[in-house]
Amino acid sequence: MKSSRRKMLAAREDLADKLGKMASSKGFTIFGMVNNLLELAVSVEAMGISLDEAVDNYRIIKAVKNASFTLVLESLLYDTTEIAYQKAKEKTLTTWFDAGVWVGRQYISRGADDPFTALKRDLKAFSWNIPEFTMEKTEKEVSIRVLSPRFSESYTLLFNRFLEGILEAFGYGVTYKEVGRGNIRLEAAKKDG
Amino acid sequence: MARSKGKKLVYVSEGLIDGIAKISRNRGESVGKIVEDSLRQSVRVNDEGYDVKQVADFFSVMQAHRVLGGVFVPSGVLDFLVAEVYPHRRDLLLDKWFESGCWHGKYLKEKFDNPVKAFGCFLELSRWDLNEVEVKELVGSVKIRCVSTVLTTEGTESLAKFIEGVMDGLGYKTEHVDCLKGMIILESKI
Repeated sequence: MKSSRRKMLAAREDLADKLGKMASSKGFTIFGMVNNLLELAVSVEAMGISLDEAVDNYRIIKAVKNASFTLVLESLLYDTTEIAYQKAKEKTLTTWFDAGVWVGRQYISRGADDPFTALKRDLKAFSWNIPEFTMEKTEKEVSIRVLSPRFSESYTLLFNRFLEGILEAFGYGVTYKEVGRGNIRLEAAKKDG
Repeated sequence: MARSKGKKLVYVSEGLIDGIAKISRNRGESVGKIVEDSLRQSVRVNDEGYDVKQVADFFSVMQAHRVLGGVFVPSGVLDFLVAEVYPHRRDLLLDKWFESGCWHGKYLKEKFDNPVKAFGCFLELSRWDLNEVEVKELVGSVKIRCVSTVLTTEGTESLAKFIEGVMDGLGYKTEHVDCLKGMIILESKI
């Protein structure tokens, strides 16, 4: 059972007032509200991040969910990909390319000021299985670099097609490509018209 | 709430002060600053329409996925891969889901005071293809019910195997599984 003894700590007046409003709107006492919030903040901090970072993470995952991504086991994904690729190479490549186009168009259609930057931010954030992933964009060119020793050869080829699909959706054509196991380097230029 | 110059005094449970003091030592900042930062962030989260508890729960779930080898993939790609591979390698895939479930179960047991409850939260927050998740902890047994309008037969069977694995990792033995397209009802006993 938690200690019922209390200590007093100073908080900025405007903050304390806001907490008071929050508490009454949620049917809490101020003591209950403050303690619940601090308990959560401590639990988040114990995981090595701040509440601000946790919120950023939450936003990104929500974006990922909206972009129709789903969680799967990494080992299972690589194994399944390998089998599917060996069984139906062209069909598998096309599926990954189409998925890239779909994701790219989904970001464009959201009406964000800079959909490419939004996609880049989200992709990088949830691609925690890729140690090095950079996407640089200038007015007319895009450069992508992916390095992941965990990728199999077939998974690298498929992930490359996914990235090409994204570039296609944003109106870029690939001008240089270097793809080897766990290593992708793509350069693309804006298509005319 | 007591008042002083531009500040108000808020009561904090003594039990919480230890946790805050630990953060204060790690960060090299005063306890007062940690409290103020935490409350400021909480108010901001609330103002933006988020629920602080949900954000915290969500982060711990994602952290577990990260540790246990979860990755994101476009749903269309996953559906295609499963449809291509499942008819030929069903047993292999199901074994993998079960094995991964065992790891998740052991991890949850290690990390959470109430791992069964944590697993329910885990399913609700990360399996956004599920419309309903119910995890009931009874005396010596656990009943789980998942309903989805989008899960394929293959996806349902895989999830059922994963849940069986989790329960195994938590130290339960699955007694009964009903698995229909989009619906899983599972009962496990200690």
